[in-house]
Amino acid sequence: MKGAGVLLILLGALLCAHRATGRLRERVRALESLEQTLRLCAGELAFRLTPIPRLCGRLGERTGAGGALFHQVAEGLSQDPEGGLRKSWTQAVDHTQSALNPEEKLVLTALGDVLGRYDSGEQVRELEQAAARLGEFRQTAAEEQRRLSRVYCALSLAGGLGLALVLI
Amino acid sequence: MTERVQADRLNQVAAFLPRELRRRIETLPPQAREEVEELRLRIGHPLFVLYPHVETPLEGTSVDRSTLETVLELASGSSVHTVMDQLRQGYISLPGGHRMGLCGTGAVENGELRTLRRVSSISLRVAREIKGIAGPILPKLWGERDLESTLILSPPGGGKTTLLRDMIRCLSAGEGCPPRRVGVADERGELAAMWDGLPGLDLGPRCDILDRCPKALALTALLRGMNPQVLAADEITAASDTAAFREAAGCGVSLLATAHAGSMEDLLRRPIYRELLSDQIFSRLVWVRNCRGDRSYTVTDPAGEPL
Repeated sequence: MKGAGVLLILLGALLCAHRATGRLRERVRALESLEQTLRLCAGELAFRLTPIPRLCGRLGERTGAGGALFHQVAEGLSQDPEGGLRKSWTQAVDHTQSALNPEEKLVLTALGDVLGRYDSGEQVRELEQAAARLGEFRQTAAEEQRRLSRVYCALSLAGGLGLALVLI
Repeated sequence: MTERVQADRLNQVAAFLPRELRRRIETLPPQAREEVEELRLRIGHPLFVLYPHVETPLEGTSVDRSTLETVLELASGSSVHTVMDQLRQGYISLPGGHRMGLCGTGAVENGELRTLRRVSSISLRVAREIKGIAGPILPKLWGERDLESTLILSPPGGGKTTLLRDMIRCLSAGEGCPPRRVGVADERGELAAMWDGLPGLDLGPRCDILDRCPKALALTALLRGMNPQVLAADEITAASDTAAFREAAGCGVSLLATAHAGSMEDLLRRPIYRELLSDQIFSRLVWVRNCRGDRSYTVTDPAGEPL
């Protein structure tokens, strides 16, 4: 009976560790998805000169944070074309990218000043720079996730064991 | 009917304005709405409305940088890169055959205008379609067997394109003349206002339109592919256009074109037109005069003698 109790406490502690690292995993996945989607966006602009509303609609069909961002922009543009792309873009970043930290969001928000406003070459350059920057953030976030996952796991197990010893 | 159509055209153009300015345009009296030729936006000034005889400010309006940015964004569908080629030439063709002209700071690369930064003024020109104006002119352009090659002339905004469009329609429909197959090189998209493969403006049933393609290329392609009896193009501006017209003239095709010139002196001052006249590419000139909104048309020979 006691053994089962200890096991349950340890499982609970591991679950807590898993949930704590969940946000870190979500951030890494979001950055990865955004990086890929921005690169796709750059490719479409470079080779097809696709109009932005159509491009947003197309990229909005993708899954993940990148798809969600472009889907939201497409919605914003269709509901309020007069509001402009910058407004729709900024709102979409705010609404869909809760996993990112402010510095990462800033990289995305800045694209709102460029998309649809310049020739394709300049837009492509900015998109690729933003994608590269997000790639750097992703690597940092992935390292942080690995490191903190171990720490959270060790702390949770130690805490669980401690609790079990007290209760026994 | 024509007036209502013209007022509807103004609505099409006003759709590219921010809400506030659009509402002000909608409050113009019906008579005034029918006469509007252009809307002009300049940073730091009110919106100006250009009528045939006067340009008046719309009281209580003001234009700032964000106004121009909104107009450009709406006109380009939030995608300036899709209209960059046109922007480099200082204008954007809009759905419905309307035209947006732009001024700002040019960014030049390798001697060519790469883009316009800091747009400072925009003019929105309302396309006009006035049916029947070519009727009294066409008989004077008819030679012994066929239409004589004709150049339509007036200063900018004089109504050249409107007349050319109606001439094409009459020829293509056989209205007041034997019907002709007309090939149209519509580089700026203003003659036919093509949208989804359909002309937004009436050019008649025997018309083949090649739009958004450089005139020189389009004229050659039409000549080779569509067996036209008449070739038409708006605004001869470059030496390549002249070369294409010269080539077409040697193929037994009648030509219709427009050019900016207020007088014979203006015309002869510009080498490309002088060349066209000396080579006898055009044997009829139609002069469009705009006197306080009333347009009159004079047909002359290449020497300027009335016919």
